[in-house]
Amino acid sequence: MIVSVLLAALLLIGLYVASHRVGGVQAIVALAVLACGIVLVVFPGLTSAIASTLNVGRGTDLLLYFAVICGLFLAAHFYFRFKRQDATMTELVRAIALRGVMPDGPPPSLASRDEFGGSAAS
Amino acid sequence: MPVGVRFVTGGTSGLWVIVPAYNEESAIGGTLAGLRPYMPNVLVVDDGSSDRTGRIARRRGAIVLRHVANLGQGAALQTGIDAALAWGARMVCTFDADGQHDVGAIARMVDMQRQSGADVVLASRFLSGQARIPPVRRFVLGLALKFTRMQTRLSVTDTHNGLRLLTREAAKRIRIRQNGMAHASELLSEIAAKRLSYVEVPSTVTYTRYSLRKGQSVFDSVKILFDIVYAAWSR
Repeated sequence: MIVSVLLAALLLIGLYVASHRVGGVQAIVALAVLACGIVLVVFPGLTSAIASTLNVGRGTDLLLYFAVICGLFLAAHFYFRFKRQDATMTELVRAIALRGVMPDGPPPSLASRDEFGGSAAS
Repeated sequence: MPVGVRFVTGGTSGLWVIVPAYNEESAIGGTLAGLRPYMPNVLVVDDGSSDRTGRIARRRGAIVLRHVANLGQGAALQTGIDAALAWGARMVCTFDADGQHDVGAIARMVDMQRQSGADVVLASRFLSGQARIPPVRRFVLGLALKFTRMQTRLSVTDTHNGLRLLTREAAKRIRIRQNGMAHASELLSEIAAKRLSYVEVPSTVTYTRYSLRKGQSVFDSVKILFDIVYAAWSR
């Protein structure tokens, strides 16, 4: 039962990725990961066998380590991407704010903004 | 001119007051009403406010530049500095929108700059012996101070005061990259790194109920501490 659920989930992820027209390397990596997933679901003893040859105890431990490493990589990847995008957005927003502000140009005319001038009361 | 706003060594020509503002509709009017009679050049950087901050500021005689999205106070200050420099500012003064600063302090800072020739004049709440700083705020500011002193080796007494005066030269050399509140310690780091000279002048801060609610919750204080460590780490 659980096996069919897991396989269905993996296939759905595969379809989801495929529907986004991913390019060469990404498609190959995605396919490889999904294929590994299917193999490991169909042959549950395999992870334990690999784990024991690598001296990491149970198969679940091996998967956990793998998941943690992937998670950390993703966190770092998205953190730096976020920082880059943040810098880009700052530049964009600032450029829009500074439209019409020319180097050595005059400040906006005082006349248009002085209706409440020096005698502004609260 | 009322008591307190009096320049000893000259006027306000070439001085631009930069007021970063985010959703300050209930305070910006009063702040500008205090500033505009004495400061001809007031630039409000509306940091993507969703309220009437920009409209009110314009009506009160300020020049307003608007960020189409909210970036943070640091980003707003840098945008304001860029504009003021383009308009030929000889000095820029940063001034909080919530009305906690006193206009007279600007005059004292300009005088101080002209007398001392320092690149940067910083206002300090702690030089004035101001006793009425809320305890939690005082504690957090103390921690922020120790950390920033350690990091920048500047012997400043107040690291998170929004009131500062920069000469044109200093404003050109300093670049604020921390969009959020971490810009306050970043600015000090820049002063240290670019070997700019600075002096501090005492200033009091008026903690109104509004400014306390707006910027000074315990959560925000914790955030400032986090930002400082973050800024130090991400340099």
